[in-house]
Amino acid sequence: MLFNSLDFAVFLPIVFVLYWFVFKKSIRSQNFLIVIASYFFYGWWDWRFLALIAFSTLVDFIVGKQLDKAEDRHLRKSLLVLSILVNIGLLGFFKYYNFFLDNFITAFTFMGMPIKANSLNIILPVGISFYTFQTMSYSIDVYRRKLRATTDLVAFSAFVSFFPQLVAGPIERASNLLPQFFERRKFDYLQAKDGLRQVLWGLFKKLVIADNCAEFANTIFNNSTEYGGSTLVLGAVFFTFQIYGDFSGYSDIAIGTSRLFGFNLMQNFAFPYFSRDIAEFWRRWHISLSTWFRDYLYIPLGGSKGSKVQQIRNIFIIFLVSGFWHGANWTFIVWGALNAIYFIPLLLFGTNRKNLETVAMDKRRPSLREFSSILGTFALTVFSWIFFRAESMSHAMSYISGIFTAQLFQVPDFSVFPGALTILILIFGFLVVEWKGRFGQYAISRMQAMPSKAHRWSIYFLIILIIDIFGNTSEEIEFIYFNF
Amino acid sequence: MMIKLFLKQVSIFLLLLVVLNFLLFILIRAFYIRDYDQVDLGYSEYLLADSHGTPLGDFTEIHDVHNFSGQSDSYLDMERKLRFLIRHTTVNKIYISVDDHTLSPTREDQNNLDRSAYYSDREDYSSYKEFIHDKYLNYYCVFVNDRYSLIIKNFLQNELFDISKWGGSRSKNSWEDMSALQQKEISTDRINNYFEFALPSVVMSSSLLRIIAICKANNIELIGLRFPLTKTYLGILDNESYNADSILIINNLHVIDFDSLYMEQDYMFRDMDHLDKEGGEKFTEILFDSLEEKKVN
Repeated sequence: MLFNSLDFAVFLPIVFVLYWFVFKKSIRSQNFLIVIASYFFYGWWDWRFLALIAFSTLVDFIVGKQLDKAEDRHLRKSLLVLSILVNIGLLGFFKYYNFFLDNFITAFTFMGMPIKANSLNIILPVGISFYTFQTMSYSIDVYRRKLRATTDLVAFSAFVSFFPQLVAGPIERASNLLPQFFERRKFDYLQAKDGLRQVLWGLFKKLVIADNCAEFANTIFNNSTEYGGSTLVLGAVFFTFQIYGDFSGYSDIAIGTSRLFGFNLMQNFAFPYFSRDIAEFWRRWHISLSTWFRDYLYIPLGGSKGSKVQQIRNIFIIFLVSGFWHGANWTFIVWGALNAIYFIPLLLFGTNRKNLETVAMDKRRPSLREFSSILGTFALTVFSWIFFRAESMSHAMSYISGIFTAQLFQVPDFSVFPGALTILILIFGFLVVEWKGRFGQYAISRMQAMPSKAHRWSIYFLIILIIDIFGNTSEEIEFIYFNF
Repeated sequence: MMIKLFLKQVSIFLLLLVVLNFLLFILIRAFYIRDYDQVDLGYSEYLLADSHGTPLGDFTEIHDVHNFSGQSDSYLDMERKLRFLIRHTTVNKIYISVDDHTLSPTREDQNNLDRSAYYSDREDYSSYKEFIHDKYLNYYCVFVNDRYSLIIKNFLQNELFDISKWGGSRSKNSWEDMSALQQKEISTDRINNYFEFALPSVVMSSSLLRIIAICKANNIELIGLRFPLTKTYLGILDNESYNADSILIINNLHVIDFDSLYMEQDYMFRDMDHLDKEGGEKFTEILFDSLEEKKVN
């Protein structure tokens, strides 16, 4: 079920009313409702893959309990390996099987030993990369004795399958989300109101920014050989806003929906396109995944400790793994490597933790230096997104070589893309709102502070109107991150 | 307590949204629906056509025929109008457009189903859900109807965001003032829009067959019309057609073909395949004169 569908618009109020009126008597019954609703939500897409979630849930629930009891180091390690193997195994089979097979065939053929193997027609279960990582974090935290294992299967199932964030995150840490399933939930008026506001903003990002940008980005990327340099740059810029609007929009809807049920999820995006360097960008982009890799991969590898060579190695490893996490394609790996390359100079000069505060603190506008840093970082990001969006490495390379032509300095022919100018104007307006709201959890979060209700509601109506008029509501376009 | 306050606030918000919807509907009604829901039931003969029939305006009324055409009307819209007429008045004769493009699959997307829902009734739908959706939700809810949103969006895009129009002239070239190249380009675009597919639309063909059946069942005389086209358009069209006229001919119904009537008179046209007002007036005379002649013969 998609957040931007009529089905969800019916589903959400029903679950909300049941949750706060019918199942409110005990935490357990509310958790039970969450599990049922979440399985229904997921099953709406494909019920067959519910078994996978149930399997992953059961394995980590049992492993967690055994880990908690066990004292023997070897046994504990074996249990952790079992949990990781099961989760990575599921991910590996459904997501990477054909990738590895194809590459083995290519490698053997290259070495003069052609082999024949049948690739399988495997459907990628939606959200598998998200819930497997979430359950793994639970096992690792229990192994590290950071968290006590739960004995409540219903609460644990609700934690794994919690429908707002099941298919595209944020990837919650068990230590943050799981305890919330054991706390008595009291309806918080302000929190629910804030949740609805965040849902509205998420819908705006998805339907107005992402889906409109997608139309132009797809046209330009799918026919890249037909366009000149400046149009290809425009295509990459459109994709840059598409992916941000799409994914951060999803996160906003997920976080906002969770708040309606009394849950607080972690912030997943913190205005990344206002970053002054690539290190800051990665502290602000897909925060739940970046911090997952930081806590469970980068730090165990040694993190920023050790020699410069070791540090560089660690950076490369997490960026390459992060790229590979996004999909079984060399383009994602190159995208990860490129970001590592962007990161290395900051590491070498020790400036990777220079920009920890939000840009232009207590100021309305950035300084010229800040502005140029933001623009530079944005340009690097746009360039790396070309690999992320391209169908293959050859497509990415031809796209990039198409950019660096004499036509790069010509104004793109907007007559070929009717409506593109309107979208650029909307993007500009969107950036202004994001800039003004950059100190909040999301761009319009500080609207609550506005004294006049009429003023506030007028803005909500205006956003709804813009969504209705400019939003791509005629077709339900899937969120990009459903594919990862 | 808090949740009740929350639900109350949400309800008020939704209520205001309904009010906003109502205000927008008034705008939509003024600018888009306009007189689409206006019909004079005091006639027994009606003209059902798409934009090819609209230039005939009220001139048909001199001949006791009410022009019930609508720009972009598909056979599905005409079918709804026909059923409406049968329910509310006595119909003896229907003139219907059977031009080359009227069975085009493009018509499945470019039609007036949102507006013609006004003429529909419960019996025109297979389910109650479909009836409520089309007749009420889609018709009155601006937030549900994508076509309404598109109209507002196009208006804003064309009038406000189109830099070329800021302070510039908005007048359009008339067909006869266009160069031969312009005429060719615009005609080719139009033909590419309608003749993208090799086969006619099954949906439109079925609807036309239903119209024929309804007319037969209600003793209504059905006459097919092919409207005049320009020489440039006809030249590029090169006999391409989805053959709506053949369906009528197979069913032993009359079809009157005027498509090459004004081959050398570009001044009669507003564009490649639409008469202008003056052309519409003159064509009305010719149309009914020829019908009189047929009667005499």
